[in-house]
Amino acid sequence: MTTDMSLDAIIDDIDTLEPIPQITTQLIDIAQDPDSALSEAAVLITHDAALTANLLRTVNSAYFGLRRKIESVQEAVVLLGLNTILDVVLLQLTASRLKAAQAGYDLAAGELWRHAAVSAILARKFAERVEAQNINRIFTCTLLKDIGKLVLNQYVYASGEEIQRLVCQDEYCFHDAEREVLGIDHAELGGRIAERWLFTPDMARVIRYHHLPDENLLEDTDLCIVYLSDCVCSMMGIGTGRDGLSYRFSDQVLERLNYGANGLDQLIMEYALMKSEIDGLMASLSLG
Amino acid sequence: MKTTVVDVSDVKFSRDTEEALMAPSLGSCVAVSAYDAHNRAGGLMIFMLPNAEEMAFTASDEHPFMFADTAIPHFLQAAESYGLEATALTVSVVGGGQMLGQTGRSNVGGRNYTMARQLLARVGITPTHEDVGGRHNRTLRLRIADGGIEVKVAGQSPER
Repeated sequence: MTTDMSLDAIIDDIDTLEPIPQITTQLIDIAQDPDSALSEAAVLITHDAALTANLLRTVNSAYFGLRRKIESVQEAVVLLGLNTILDVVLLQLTASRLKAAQAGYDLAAGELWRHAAVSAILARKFAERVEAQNINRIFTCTLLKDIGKLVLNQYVYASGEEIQRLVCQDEYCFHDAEREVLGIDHAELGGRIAERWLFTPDMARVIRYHHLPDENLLEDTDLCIVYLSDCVCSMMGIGTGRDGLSYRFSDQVLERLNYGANGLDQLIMEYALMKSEIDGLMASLSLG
Repeated sequence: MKTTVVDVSDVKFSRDTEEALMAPSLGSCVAVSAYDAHNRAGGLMIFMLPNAEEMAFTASDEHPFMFADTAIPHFLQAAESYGLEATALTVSVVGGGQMLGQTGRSNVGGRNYTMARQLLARVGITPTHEDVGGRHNRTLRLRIADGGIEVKVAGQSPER
């Protein structure tokens, strides 16, 4: 069991996490503001030479199938739309943070990012289907929901056996076991990181509660979508490690989002039919 | 040894004794392997959902390995076409995990496994090896040299 001192050490470690580039939060703000002009995002991206080069390489890849070569960010935004460009840029920006192997979670290099990226792409699709209001925010929150694992990884590694025992023998959810052993779980830690990085309170809340620990949270449509995309990715084994399927599934979320009796099968089928598209997008991202 | 990854909703066969076929990171999906020791050849298939008919899925020709009810007959037929002898097959079923609280319709992993067993039983096949259920994430390898099955559970070692 944890001591206050070790919990403090974990929370202090948030400061050792390399902050997400400032442009990320600026782009997130633009994505959430319906009054933002396309040019605003384009100008921001253009100021970052490496990001611009990666973006142009990606949009000129076979995946996007454009007939002519795109030579500027402005052109890319006009041709592909701001949402697509923001998705691509955010996927690229988070890749550098999430790509490393996380031994505590038994995740090889690239797996945490793959889970983040695929679940974010799925969340956008699910959000469009239920005509959610904040689709860009849902995408971003899904992409960053496991950011707490970056800090908690080393502690989970050190206490792996104890956590595993609670999960396997006592049927704990993985995040409950983390909290029992370490005093905090990766979702709560992710919420604190989001606050430290000055994300909006709504974003911090979705990241903090993305495993839906309380039925009262079912009222939050954004959270339900993030949660479902995470569940589908875990069930499909996408970027899942030691925690595997050790989380609680709520049928009520399906009802809340008006999915019928075959709701979960439908969502998985939706993923299956998008899979080659998702694989194409992932392959097209130039991650350097 | 060369390892060839089999994707979900897909199948691969091999008679290369230096090769292993791998189904990585199985959650609720189910992998079915078949091995013919006489011919030292085998195949591996992974499906995602139990029942295409129930979902009124009309693209089974394009995606025959997505649902168990189309995947298993296709797999057995493809195995025969590849030269695997039906009477000499050893079959394994791995995966079908479920999250806490998944019961009834939402227990996709459990329903996947049940459907696989029923369809195999219908053609007289009883799996010789099963590693299914629970909340595990499994990776399966089928060695073509001897038909050996290795299952690695994430966060646990060694392979079992």
